[in-house]
Amino acid sequence: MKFQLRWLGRYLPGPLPEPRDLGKRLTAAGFILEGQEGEGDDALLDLEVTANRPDGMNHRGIAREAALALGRSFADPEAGLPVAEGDVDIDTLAVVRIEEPALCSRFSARAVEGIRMGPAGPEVASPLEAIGSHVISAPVDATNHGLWDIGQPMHAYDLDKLAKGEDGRALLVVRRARAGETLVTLDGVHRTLSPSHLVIADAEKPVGLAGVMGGLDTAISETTTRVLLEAANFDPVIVRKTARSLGMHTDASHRFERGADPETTREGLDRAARRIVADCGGTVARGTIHVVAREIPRRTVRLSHARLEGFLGLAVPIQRAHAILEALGFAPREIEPGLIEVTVPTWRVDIEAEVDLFEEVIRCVGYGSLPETLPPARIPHASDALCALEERVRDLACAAGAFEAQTFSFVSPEENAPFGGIAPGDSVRLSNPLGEVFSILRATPLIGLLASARHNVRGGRAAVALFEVGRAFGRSGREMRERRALAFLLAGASSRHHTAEPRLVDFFDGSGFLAAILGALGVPGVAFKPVSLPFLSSGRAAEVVSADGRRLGWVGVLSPALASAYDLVEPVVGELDLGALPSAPPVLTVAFPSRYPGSDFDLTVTHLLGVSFDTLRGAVSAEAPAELLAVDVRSRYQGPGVPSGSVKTSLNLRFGSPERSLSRDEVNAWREAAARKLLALPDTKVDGF
Amino acid sequence: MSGPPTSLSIDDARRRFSEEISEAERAASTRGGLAPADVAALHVAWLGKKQGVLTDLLARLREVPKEEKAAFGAGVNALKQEVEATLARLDETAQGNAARAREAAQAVDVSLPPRLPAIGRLHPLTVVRRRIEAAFRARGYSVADGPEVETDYFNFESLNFPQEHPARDAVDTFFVEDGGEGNEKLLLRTHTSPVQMRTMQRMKPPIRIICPGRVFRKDDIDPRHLPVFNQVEGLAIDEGITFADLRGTLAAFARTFFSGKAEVRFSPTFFPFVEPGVDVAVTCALCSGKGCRVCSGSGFIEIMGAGMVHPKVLAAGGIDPERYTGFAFGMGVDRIALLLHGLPDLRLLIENDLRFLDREWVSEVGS
Repeated sequence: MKFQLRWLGRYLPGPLPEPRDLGKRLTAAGFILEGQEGEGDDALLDLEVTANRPDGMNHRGIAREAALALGRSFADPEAGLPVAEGDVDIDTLAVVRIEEPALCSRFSARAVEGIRMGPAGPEVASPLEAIGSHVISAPVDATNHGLWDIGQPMHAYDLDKLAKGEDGRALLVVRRARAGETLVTLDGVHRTLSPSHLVIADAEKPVGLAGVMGGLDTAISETTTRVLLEAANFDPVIVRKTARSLGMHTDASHRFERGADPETTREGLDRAARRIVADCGGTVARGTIHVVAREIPRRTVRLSHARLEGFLGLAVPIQRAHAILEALGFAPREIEPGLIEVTVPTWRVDIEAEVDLFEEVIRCVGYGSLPETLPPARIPHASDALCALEERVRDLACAAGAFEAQTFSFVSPEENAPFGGIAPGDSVRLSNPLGEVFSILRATPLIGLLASARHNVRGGRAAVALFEVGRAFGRSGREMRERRALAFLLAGASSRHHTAEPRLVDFFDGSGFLAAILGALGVPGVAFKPVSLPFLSSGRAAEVVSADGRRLGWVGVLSPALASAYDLVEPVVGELDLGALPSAPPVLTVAFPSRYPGSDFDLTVTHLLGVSFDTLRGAVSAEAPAELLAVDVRSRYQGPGVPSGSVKTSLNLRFGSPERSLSRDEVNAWREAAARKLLALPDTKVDGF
Repeated sequence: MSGPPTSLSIDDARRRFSEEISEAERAASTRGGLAPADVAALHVAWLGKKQGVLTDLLARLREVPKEEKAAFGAGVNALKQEVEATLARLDETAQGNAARAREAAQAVDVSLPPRLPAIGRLHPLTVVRRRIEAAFRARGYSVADGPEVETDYFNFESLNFPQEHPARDAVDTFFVEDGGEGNEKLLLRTHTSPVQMRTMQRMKPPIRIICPGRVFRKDDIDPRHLPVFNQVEGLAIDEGITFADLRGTLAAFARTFFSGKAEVRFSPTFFPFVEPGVDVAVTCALCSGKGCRVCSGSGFIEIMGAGMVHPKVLAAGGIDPERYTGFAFGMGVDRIALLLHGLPDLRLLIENDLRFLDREWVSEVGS
């Protein structure tokens, strides 16, 4: 928001302040200098005025702050200045009625008759032009000047264009619009209104959107000779709703939404009327219409010196606090030692409680004077267990060779569709996305990894290993389901070295990635079961199941269609549902590693391809002695010597006991028993049996 | 080598042994010295049970005149011991030679590329976030978490952003389609402050938490803005917590995180959930406060917002504002990563180019 140094200077008796110094001081007071145009007395300051300080959205308000920040006095040259009035009584010209007292606390009006339309003089026009406000005509500029001068939005009607009531006087009514009423606003837009809009209407029709913009038909024009000036105070919420629902935002609505001073309506009219007469001649009608629909009680707030110092952690003499509040217009008085009561100025709509006064005091004392202390040490609470799990999974995924990625949480409907089935429930759409490509909350973080992998492959990367730990989304009606997931993607060459034949990553790199992480997390008995998922290649897809049957995730080779859509060759992808993992660390039971050597043997079994390793392992494990520790695969062979449709698998069975060495005889007996179990499976042969 | 040397004397035998060894060593000199097989052959030739020279010599004891038998026997035995000792020594050498030969055959060009175990890296945002967290964990803060899809109540209303309040204009929010109305309306959280509110409602003071997490604002994507970014917020609530405690806490953080000499500067601003609200700037790490391009010559860089928890927010959290005070702060992890690493474009953080990800980010050592 731009402020002209000369304009501010009207309120600061004496020479104009140096703009750079003023900017610095205003920044320290909470009005951040965002830029400066021009130098010296011609400078413009661009200040950020936060939403809680509508009183700072005009020159008088900023000048008040500037005076305190500079340690100078503040004076309003127009305060109490009279308006020269004619003989015609305003009450014979117009009447105002407020039908919505909750939405319009007061409405004031003045009239100027006999004007000659023309441009505003330099006293009004040049400061407005300096701050970038369009200059239109003397009466309109006079109202705009009031807005930028003291913060009072106003509107000028052509009195002769307002429909008169039965008594012949122009009527202005503050009411809700009726369904279907229309209004062409000053910007030329034809608007259809509803009862959710607050309007100013004449005897027949709406003539303005209350606190937002006036109507075109009743606006002043080249031929206007009589002006009716409006200055009112409207409810912030109705102005905001009216403006937003019509897609409008104006200087007036900006101030009313944040809270305008209810006590500047008459003052604003006086200033505007004086300026109109100065530029256009004419006579101001006698008196001001001032309809008060609702009294706004003056707020009083108490400030305890002890509480002030306790809150700040800083000693501030009570006289200092008193002086600051006085300079800001708070009219403080000491009601008992150490206790000040202030009456909040009408323009300070942001001050409600004692803590608000604490801020006024410290921002004027200066934040630089705050000491640096620490709150007392306390015994910490436990951190969120799932966050801790996520961190551990990130570390393990890195240890397993993947790089952590971060991708957007929203994706396009097309990207999400193939994975819709794994979202918890229906997909979640945003009502106001940045674009269709960012309109769906992802069903899995994998979607972003696919695009990231494509980016890397296109850049010539031979191997890609990425993971992301993040949220996946679904919904069941209004109930949102947010899942924490680890997603990963492996693509391209697997660990290349001149000593080994190059190969592409395959399913087992993927299942190994998850098995390694789950193993390190101490999740016991994880199994990979065949599964059919539309986005995975059939036959190379598994779900990851815990020992107690919970589904922990899935892994597989991406379907050919999706792989080619992302320019990838057989990428291996997978996901862990972190919410399904035990978040508490597994209970540790400590046992000595066995001191006795174990024993192992191989069994080479020829079996149908349809008989899975899981089945073979199940067969040899069934009724196996407790000494059986592990079943592993030494080799797999298909080719000459093995019937087509079969495969030769060399199993390795490892045995051991914590209590004794194993005898050759018992191991041989176990070997025979295991072979018999395998032979009991259909169409199997075991070498040597 | 030798047939049965019928007329061989002990001295002749000793000389001949010495010659044979020299010969064997000479013959082996071009192939890396004596091999264990060379020594074994000598062993057979001299000590072999059937044809060994010494076995033969000993057999001739019968032919030696009675008075010389003792001397001859002793001489043969002495020679045998010498031969045994020499062959044992040579065998040791030969075994060493053999081991060296085996090693030589296994030698590699150590300058060839190593076979790297695959080790990934954390994303720079995770590294930076963990460093921020570590600085606060060390001061007794614990990590709290909450959903990314929030309700209007937790994201705005309970944090003193009333419905239809212009303060909401500063926060461009994504809404969920068919996500309800009023304070139940579903949206993507615009800050992690809802976690603070959820924590207050769940926990009694004293509270010391940090809330890291992903947040969303409807910003167009450009080098300085992403619609998805990351925050770490903090909250401390206790009896007697002061504004000065906030300054001290953030100064301690800045000195752990940025530089031991970092200063913290507050300037007033407005956030509805705190009063007073401040923008927090720290000494520019690039120029140590002298003023540079990064800090626009001010010597300070704004890194977070903070303030004293608004009494209305405490009350909404079920905490008595008459008894307790507290402070809250929040910083953007992406922005800090950008400052720390001089990233030219925030989009690098979501592109996941492995040439970008595969490098050393700020070390976690020491934090």
